Amino acid sequence: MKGEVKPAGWLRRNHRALLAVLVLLPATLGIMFANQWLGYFDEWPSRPVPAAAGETIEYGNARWRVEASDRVLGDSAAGRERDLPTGTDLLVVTVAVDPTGTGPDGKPDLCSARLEESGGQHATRTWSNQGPISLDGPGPERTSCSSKLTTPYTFDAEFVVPADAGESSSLSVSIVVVEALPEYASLALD
Amino acid sequence: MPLKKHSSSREKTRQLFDRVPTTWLVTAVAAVLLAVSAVFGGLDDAEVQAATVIQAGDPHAGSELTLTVDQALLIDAFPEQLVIPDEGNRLLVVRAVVENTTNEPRRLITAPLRSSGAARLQSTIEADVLRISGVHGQALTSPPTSILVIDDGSDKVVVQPDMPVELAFVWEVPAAAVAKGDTIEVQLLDRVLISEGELTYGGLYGDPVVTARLELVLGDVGAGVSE
Amino acid sequence: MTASRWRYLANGAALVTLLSVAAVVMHSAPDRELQQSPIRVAAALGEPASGRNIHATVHSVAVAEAVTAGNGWAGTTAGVWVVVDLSVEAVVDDVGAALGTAVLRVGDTSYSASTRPGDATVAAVGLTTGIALTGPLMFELPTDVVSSAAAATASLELATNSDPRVDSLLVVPVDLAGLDVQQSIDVDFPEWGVR
Repeated sequence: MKGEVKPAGWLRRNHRALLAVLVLLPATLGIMFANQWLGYFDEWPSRPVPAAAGETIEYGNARWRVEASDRVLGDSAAGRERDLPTGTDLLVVTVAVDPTGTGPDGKPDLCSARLEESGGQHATRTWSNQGPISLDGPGPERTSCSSKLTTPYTFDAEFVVPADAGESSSLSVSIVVVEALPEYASLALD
Repeated sequence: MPLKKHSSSREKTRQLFDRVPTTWLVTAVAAVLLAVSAVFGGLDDAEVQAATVIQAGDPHAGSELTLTVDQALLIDAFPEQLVIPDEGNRLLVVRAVVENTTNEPRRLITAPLRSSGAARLQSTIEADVLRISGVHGQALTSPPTSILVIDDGSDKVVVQPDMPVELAFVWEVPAAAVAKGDTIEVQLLDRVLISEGELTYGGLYGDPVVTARLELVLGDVGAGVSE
Repeated sequence: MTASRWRYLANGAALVTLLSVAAVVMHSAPDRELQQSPIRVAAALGEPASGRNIHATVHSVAVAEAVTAGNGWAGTTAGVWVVVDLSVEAVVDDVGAALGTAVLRVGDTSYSASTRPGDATVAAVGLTTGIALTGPLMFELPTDVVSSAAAATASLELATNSDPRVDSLLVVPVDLAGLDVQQSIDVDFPEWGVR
């Protein structure tokens, strides 16, 4: 009959419930998956602490700097001495470490070094220090961090890379200290 | 007031059922069914497949591998393969021919070692195929400490489909516990595929069961013959 | 018929349609095998092929009764040896990169690369980014399988992880039946570097 108020529509009647769903659904999904995603990112090196060439940065419990980087060409005399495979070069990166503190076990942290090449015509490539290629001749005295020294020291990371690594691309050394993950130091070489 | 009718027997039964609680009825029916099944042997113990007793040299076909155990002997060490027992121990070797009857290669797993060098009893899901029992100082039944291919002495044995290979299964035993002429029991194990893994790669298997036993008399080759 | 009868009929028809569509969707949904299948890269003998983290070229395949490896190993087998000469390298990353899957598939039977020669085969060595490792792979096969009809359409599957699911798998078709069985073959020790 005329004069009756039109009954409220479905949306109006249920607007509170709909608002609740709009808030709770993303919150529930977020909580469900956040734990796994956070754990995933925390466990692999995903937050670089960058350093330009020659710069000293503080990472983990030490200060790091690339002191020198030498490229031994495969077809040079020095390269033949080390018995480098055909078409490869040897990149020796001297990293200066100044331990400022110790890890939770009271000893300076151990680290692992990788060479990373980005830009250029290939996808980002990485090489590990002390890979499966074994070279002739005496290697460097120290190839990785020491857990005994508390005074500044240097170590030489040797990487056997294809001859075209580094041309038209930038190289950097990534240092990972397990206790400081997901942060890792990314020291540019050039 | 309605007249109290003289109820028939059928009505009396129905009233009785109405009064009894349902749970009692259900339990009573279940008990009757169990009793009936007992007549057909439903309450007897399940039969356990007894392990067959075989002789040395008889092939025993399992669900994945066919094994033929030839002999067992004692040896001091395999120095070329770097299988050298601790002081006071010797090696007990069982020679067997293993043939893979599936159509995927099968890796034979040995007991992983604890840092102290003693063999760690592993989860039985990583199936092994032979076990020895009856040796003093050895855990009741234990997987071998290493498995070697007799032809070239390589370890990390992978048995290819339809390619029989002669293997040496090696256990480290205290020298005082075994001597030439002792009898040991060798157990042949088999495992059954339950299903393809949902998340894991490769199938899911049940625990290995002993499907055959045989007794072997130990020989002794002292420091070893060059194979 | 009345309007309500039509409506009931229409409801029933809609329900039946919905149920049949649901049945079709359920039965054609990708099963676990399809969801987790490796990403196959077709390759040809002699041609380089690239996956996500593997780049390989199969140079030659031969069948022989006896093989002498570069480190002096000369094992015997009840069947024959299929020797594959290939160059393989990792493409982006060398963490844990090795030729984890090296499988010769004949019909529905698969044979894995033998580890008996130790480090004289490529199957046991770790790989490096961008630097090729050239060497042999050896497979032990029964003699009758090598000359069977299925051997003409055999395929060699290569991947970096021993679990090939959801990563690149290079598949190279090989005709084993068309190869002569040689008396013996000498193979070189695996070598690094551009060939």
